[in-house]
Amino acid sequence: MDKLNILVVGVGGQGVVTLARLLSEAAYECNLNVLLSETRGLSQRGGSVKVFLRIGKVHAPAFNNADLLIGLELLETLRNISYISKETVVIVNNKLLLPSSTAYIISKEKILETLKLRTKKLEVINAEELALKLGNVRSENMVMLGYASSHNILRNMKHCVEKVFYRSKYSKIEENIKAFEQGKKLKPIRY
Amino acid sequence: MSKLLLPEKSKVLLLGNEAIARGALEAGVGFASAYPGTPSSEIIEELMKISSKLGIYVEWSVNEKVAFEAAYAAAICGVRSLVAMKHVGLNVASDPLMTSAYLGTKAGFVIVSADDPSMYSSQNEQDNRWYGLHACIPVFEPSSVQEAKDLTKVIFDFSEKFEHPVILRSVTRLSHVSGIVVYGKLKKTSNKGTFIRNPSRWVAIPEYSRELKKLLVRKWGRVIGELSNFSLNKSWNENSEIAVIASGIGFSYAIEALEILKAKEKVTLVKLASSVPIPRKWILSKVSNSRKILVVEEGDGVVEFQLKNILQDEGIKAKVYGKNLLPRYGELQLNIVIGALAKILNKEAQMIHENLALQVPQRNPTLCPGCPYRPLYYALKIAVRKSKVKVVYSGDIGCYTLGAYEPFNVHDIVLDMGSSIGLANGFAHVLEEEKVVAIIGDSTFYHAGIPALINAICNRASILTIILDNETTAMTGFQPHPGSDKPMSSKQLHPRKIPLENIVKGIGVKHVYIIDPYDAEKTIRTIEESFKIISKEKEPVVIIARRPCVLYKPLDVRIKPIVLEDKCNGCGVCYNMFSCPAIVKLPSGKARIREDLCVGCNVCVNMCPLNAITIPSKGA
Repeated sequence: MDKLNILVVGVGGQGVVTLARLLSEAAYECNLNVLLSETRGLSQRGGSVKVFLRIGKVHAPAFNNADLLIGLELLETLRNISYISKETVVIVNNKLLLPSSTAYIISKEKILETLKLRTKKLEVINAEELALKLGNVRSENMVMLGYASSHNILRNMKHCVEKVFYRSKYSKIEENIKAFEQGKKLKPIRY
Repeated sequence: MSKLLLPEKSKVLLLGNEAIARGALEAGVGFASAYPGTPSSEIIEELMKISSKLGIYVEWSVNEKVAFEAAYAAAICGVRSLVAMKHVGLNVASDPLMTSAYLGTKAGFVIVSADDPSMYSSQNEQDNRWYGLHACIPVFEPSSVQEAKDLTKVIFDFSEKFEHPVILRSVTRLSHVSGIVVYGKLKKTSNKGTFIRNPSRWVAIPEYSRELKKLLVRKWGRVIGELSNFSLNKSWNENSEIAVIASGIGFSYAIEALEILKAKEKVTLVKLASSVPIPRKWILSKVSNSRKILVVEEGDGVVEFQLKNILQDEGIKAKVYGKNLLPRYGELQLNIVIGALAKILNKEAQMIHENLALQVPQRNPTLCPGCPYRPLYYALKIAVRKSKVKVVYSGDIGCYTLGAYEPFNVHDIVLDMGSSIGLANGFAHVLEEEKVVAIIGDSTFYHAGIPALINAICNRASILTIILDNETTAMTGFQPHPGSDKPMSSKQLHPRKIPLENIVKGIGVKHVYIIDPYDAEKTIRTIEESFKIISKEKEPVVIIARRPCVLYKPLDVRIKPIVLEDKCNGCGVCYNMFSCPAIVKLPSGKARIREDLCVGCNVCVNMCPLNAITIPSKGA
């Protein structure tokens, strides 16, 4: 593959941008060309967050079809389903946060069913559960990072993710290290 | 060490705005100013961090007009200067902008306009390249993060050569994109200059301006000519039957789309780094034999418009495509550019994307847990209900604009910076039944609210103005303002705080209240009292709601409250009406406080009608 399109989505405050930045730094560390496209300002306060990360022979800052989608939350993953095609690897945190101000109800099962119709490569992981068990839900993005780094699709970058994570300020927090390390070994759940 | 100071040839992963800052350093910028605004803020933020090391003067100005004027004055004294703002900020600075083209400059003067197509954090998505055509100021647009640096550097020279201001137009997907940049050499700078008196050059009175306008027209002709030699405009395969002209970030989409369609060798490809004015002679030499020309640009058809004019002048009958195939609103997208190219190439484009008819509810951004504006809005709604008044809420621009959403709905109109009070002036005179409440943030008040409030006093507009004072410009990343306790410039002098109450009282508001929005009871009482005064005395009233942003100044004591399950009856006041994101509704309807989100402001403790929310040490 001469280019890799990664979409990272979630809810503002979940560490979506942090996760994507660490991956972009890892790509840079591996001497790969990289473009990371975020939105800041008003779009960050607890709303939907979507970051485009492109690695390899790329020019445009954004894309329409993801090779890898990392979803920190299920509804945000569903919202971005148009970026998913049959071959898209979707790694999603088994966590549903419904917006409080709507009467809209959808179940985890329904979302997963919809995603499964779209891609052959859906992997659901209990990142939130693990982070809670380790003592801080905020490290769920590091569980996701750990899991993604050990995935075959990022095999060329694995050692760089490792290096960048341990160099970053996030590795100064014990729970993040545990989250990252145990995330690497996490098995996707059956759904 | 800041990555902006790394030596020549360093290869650095840089944000677009950081690249602009580095470009300015490589050009030897000596003076930089801005009013913060997404997506422009990081340029000055980064320059501020390294200002003392390099001897650059950097400041956060009170608004874009002043930022512009300050940087412009430095430039006419011979100091290379940069002013940065978001697109709508240039409207505020448009008065000096227009006439600066008449007067010109001495040292290089670069105006950075960061446009926000798709409106991620803005009230509109105007394309500021029109300002270039309007004012006769050249506009340059980078196509990549690397070029953001290179172009910024080069246009300082261009500006200086013509003694003329230039605009660098960025967009969100450049300013907030990180990419790899190879550095050039840093240039030594000075922030001291000389003013050479020359009234016929610098004094824009009619007698002189008439002459200056003639000079401007002549200069504009020379600029068009010189741009035909501009090194960052590039072309491939001249005079093919089909040509693609792409400006700025549009080029990155165009070249990738051509690669995907394997058509790069089949078409003439023109990259425009100078999009206003387009380099007439040069562009004609590239495309005058083409039959079909597609213009790819983000925003309006500014290049397309100029190109059609030129082709008409020359009697060239090429068919020009542009905004008939590409969107007139929002950002460009790769698949749309591929589709447009495929169409003029008569190729089948493989479109992978069917639209899914999925209804996913919006997840709107919300006020943060602990935000002082939430209890304020909550109290405001209660006070309005208790006072039995009808209200028009005139809103403004900042984090607090989020009060426009459910459940508060306290912004009936939002127009531009400072417009809450400006509009309230008109509402107050024409509305008979309603009370008019203007809601404005501290930084916005300093920026453009003061003249509007003066107007309200002089013209007896009886309005209630609530100034939300959280001590910082929170939305854009905590830049200081005149009421902050952080210095606003690189001189790092002890901040000369200008308290809001001094201004408000100084301009003659008789009724001024200062409240802490965490104290809901007092807030409600004060608002009720204000409505009474307005009814009786027909005088403007100002309430200053003072409490620092919790992200800017986290609370010292962080004891987090809990919900007593046996007392909670699931009434929903806390999660529906107060709507703190840290309070969630359990399946039973009862409330639970999420410890990971709660910051311990404890305002909800007093909101609960059943006293079911309590601070652990005191309660159960």
